[in-house]
Amino acid sequence: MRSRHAGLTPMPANGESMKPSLRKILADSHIAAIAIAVLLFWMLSSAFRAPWDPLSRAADFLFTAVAIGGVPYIPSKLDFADRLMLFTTVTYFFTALISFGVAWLLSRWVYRVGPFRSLSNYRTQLVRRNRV
Amino acid sequence: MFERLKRTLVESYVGAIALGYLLAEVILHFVEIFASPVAAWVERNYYQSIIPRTTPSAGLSLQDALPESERFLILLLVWYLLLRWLYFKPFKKEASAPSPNPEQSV
Repeated sequence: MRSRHAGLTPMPANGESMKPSLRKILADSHIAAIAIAVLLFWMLSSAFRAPWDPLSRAADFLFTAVAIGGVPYIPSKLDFADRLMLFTTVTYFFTALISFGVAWLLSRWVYRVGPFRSLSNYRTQLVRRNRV
Repeated sequence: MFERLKRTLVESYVGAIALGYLLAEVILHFVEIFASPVAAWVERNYYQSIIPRTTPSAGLSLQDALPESERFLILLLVWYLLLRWLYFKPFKKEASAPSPNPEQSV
């Protein structure tokens, strides 16, 4: 049965020395776990930055409405700044999506589970190792 | 000296952290090889809609993927060489000096 725990790869049964595969080296050396963590961090960073400009624009609109006690001017057409803001938002959103997709693929390849579960298993394993 | 440096990098996890970060960079640069021509095309079309030019807009250009391809190849090479040096070969066993016997010294 294949081990479902992160970093635990089955050893050869007959004890012969086998040339380790790239997958096993990445799992045993913690490199894959760190890469997954970095990719997830970039995903979160982009996901937080994506709605930042539209939200600040909405807050600006609300504060202006409160300040003037009415509805502020709404242009009928998107200007340069609006388009740039939308472009930046879409770029951050795609960066977040790609970072998560890559982290998921790497985690599935190395640990056979998703990125969050693999990091969670990894944490449990490290805590257990530190206690021993 | 290199063997000591290698041991230090592996045992302190500095090598693993550096290689993990580098692996994430390598993967994202690989993705950007395909994304950068599309991004450049969108950008060109976008700016041509603001500043009209007489020359017609070019389609997807592979030249836009060249900088990312170079970065990807160089980073991949550095990553693979470091991985090979640090983790493919096991440590050489150190010739440990015999520990002094405390009973003899008394």
